[in-house]
Amino acid sequence: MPKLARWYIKTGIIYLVFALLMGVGMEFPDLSKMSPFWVNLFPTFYHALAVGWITQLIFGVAFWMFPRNSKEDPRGSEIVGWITYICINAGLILRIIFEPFNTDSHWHTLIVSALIISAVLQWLGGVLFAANTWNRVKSRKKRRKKRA
Amino acid sequence: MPELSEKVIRISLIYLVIGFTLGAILLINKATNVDPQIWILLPIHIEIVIFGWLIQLIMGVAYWSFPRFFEMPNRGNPHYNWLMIIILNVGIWTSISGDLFLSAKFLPMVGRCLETIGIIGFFMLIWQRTRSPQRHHQ
Repeated sequence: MPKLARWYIKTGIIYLVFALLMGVGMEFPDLSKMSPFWVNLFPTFYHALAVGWITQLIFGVAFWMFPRNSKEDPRGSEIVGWITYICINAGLILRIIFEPFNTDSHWHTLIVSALIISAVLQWLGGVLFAANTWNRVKSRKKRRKKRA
Repeated sequence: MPELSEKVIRISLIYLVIGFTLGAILLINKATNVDPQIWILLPIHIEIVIFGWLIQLIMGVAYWSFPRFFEMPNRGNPHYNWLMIIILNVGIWTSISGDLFLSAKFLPMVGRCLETIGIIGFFMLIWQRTRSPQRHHQ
């Protein structure tokens, strides 16, 4: 298994554990009063699961197991793969830190800037993954044609 | 990888990009409060990410990698599978239309029904291909 796939999968597992613990925390009777902070935790919780866990697990397994491009270039650009990993995780961590405080007027500018950067980074991660994976998703017929 | 999987996985990658784009718009709008109308995109974002990206990717990979039948067509009837994929995608866009045109109240229900038919129809075939190596040789 290549190093990047291991990083994706292990990071995904960390997010899964984090999201599960977060879910337990959100159910504590004293904590789950519907204050803006706790209401804002719901999308953070779901994104930790959907992007942090499921999406990263898919990215890791796809990078590892999808058909290879060629002997010289088996898995597309590894640099783009690492940039994707950094974008997704930096974006998600910014979201997890700042989204629950979105209603705080004291740090408004900082929170807004962090969430905009988070949105752009996660979007970039998704686009880069799709672009880097696109050429590896090829039918056997097309591969044969390319070799011939 | 069979041609159907190639197409379905590539379609799911397109949905991934659309879903992430809508997600980014929603998060920026949440932070900046540009326009409350943008929240109309939330159910579309969820629809595209779950049905268009995740479920469709799983369908594409399952069709490619699950144990095959001995007799041809060894991955099941490709015309039937294509039909299920088309029904699923028509369902996705019908649901999205329902989210956009709130007056057409029947559209989300029709969309959900089509998605359900497409997914169940597809996984009925995958169900038959989900077997142990021993059963595979019987």
